[in-house]
Amino acid sequence: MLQIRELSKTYGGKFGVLPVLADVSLSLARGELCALTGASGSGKTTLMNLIGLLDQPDHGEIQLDGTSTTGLGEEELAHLRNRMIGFIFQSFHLLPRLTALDNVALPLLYRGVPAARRRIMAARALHRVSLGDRMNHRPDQLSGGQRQRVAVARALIGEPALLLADEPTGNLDSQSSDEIMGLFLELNQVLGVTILIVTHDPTIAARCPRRIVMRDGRVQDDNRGELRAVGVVPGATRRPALC
Amino acid sequence: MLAREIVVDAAGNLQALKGRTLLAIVGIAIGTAAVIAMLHIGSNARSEALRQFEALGTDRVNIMPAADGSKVTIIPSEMARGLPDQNIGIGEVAPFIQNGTTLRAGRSAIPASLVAAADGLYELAQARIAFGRRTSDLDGNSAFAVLGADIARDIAGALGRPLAVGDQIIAENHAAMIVGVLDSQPSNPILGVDLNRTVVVPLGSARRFISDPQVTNIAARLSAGADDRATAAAVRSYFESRLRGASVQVQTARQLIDGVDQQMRVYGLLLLAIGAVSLVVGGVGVMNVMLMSVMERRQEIGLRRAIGARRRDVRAMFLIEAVILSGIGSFAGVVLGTVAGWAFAHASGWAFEAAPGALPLAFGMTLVVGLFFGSYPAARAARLDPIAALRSQ
Repeated sequence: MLQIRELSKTYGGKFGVLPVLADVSLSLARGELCALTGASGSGKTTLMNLIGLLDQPDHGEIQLDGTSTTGLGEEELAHLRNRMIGFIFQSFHLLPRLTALDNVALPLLYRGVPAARRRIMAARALHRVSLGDRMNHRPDQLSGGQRQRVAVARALIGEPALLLADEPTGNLDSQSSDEIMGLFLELNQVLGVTILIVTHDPTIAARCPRRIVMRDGRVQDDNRGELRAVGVVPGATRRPALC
Repeated sequence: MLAREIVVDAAGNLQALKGRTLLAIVGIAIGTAAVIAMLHIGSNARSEALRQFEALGTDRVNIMPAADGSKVTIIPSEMARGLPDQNIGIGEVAPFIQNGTTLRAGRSAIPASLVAAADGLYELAQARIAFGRRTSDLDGNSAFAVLGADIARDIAGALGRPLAVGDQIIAENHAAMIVGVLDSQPSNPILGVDLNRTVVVPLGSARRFISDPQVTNIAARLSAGADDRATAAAVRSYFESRLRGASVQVQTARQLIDGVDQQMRVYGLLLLAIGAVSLVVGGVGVMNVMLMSVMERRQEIGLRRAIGARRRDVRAMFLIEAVILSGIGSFAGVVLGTVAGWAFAHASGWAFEAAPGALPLAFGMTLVVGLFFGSYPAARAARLDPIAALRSQ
């Protein structure tokens, strides 16, 4: 489903180059729910932007559903983003002047889906995230958890191959976080959606069947089984949250 | 398909109009209103002038001896009367002598123009008698006078009673008897006489009132189907071949109309330039609003890119918004300008008639202003890096 080979990325600045990713290789199978964690500066956000085709690597290759994304032009990348990837952001990024329904329908605009059909599909997506009764509310009339669910519906509407969630619970209280995480698990188990969640939150990571830990631009740990205490500098206090 | 959807989407984005958006719209509206009002006024002034000429007769010709400083051309009136027989396109002539004078009636002195004219002038100038009769060539050198409407009113005012046929006036120390009064009529720019302020006397009596009576004008009419330019040339050569060193000036309605046209064109260009300047100012306002909008909506731009908008979709969205902005302004401007043009026409007593070019011009200007001033902000929006845009505050 997602295959990453020897990805590296450096950011050049006035004072020299800063390597952010070095030879990252990993793959994600269809239907996986995976957390991507790591300290700030570990390169996880950069990796996320690369997978989301918002940025391009210096070396290496990303394959989505067997399609190589190397050397694609801006329009083809936009097309792939529209078809293959659903984004969920920490700060929701809903358009304040649009209703929940119109926010959800937005990605279909760039697919050329007619307005009536867009609304039907958006309503269906909102029902799927249990917001069928909030369709005509604007974002400022919704709670944080509800907003994020609208954003999830927007990410889902195009039936993408991969959901990319960037700190999806970073702006939410613990109860809403829990609900959103529950929604991800449900979507993953019921619909079989492949989900990659970038998170700082160990409790979120702990609920994912697979966890990838990044450090200094490399994959430090890739763990499908029991939770392991990783990403903790030896000698530092073991965090109970990781159990 | 997609294009239409993006237009609808962009139009929705403008629903939340802010104060500065309104100001930009006002700028465009004023610019458009200026251009449209000027077009209407120019076009109406022109058609009004043409209508006036038409009412006065576009076949009228005025022939004047040209004074070139040292030499004065003297046209014998008999030679002028011979014009229709030449078959050069002149159908009717009425030589006349025009001179400024002061009339005395009772104790008042009234400035007037004295015209000693052959009979044909009344027809050629479309003068109608209010009461009494016209002067006639058959009056010979009798001191009979016909008064223009304004002069008659002034004299009646000076005498303190209504004028009657048989009353006397004194012009240049000679008494004349009033035999008739003319109806009020518009002045005739071709013949160059304002009959309302004129005393008409028979051509034969000119010597009584004017010390050296020489024909100053020959009013004439083109015969049906005559080409005015060819006729003017023939008239010039008719006099120049008969009078040594003479030169005459032939003025036709077409020349005057051309003159009016030229004047209107210059006037119109000037006004158009003013309108264009205000449009540019309005356009800069639109550009400013759009640049602010791009800055404020960076996150939205980032999001749209993330969910599949191409750079050109983003560019199109902002361009369309700019065009819609300038379109709203233009529409308001067209309404405003048309109302202003109508009000001006109404105040001037003209019939209002929309200028034919106004609507397409306004439409074209909308597109040009919107696209021109929207393209830079739209290009900025399209160039934004989606990652940076999503992270911006």
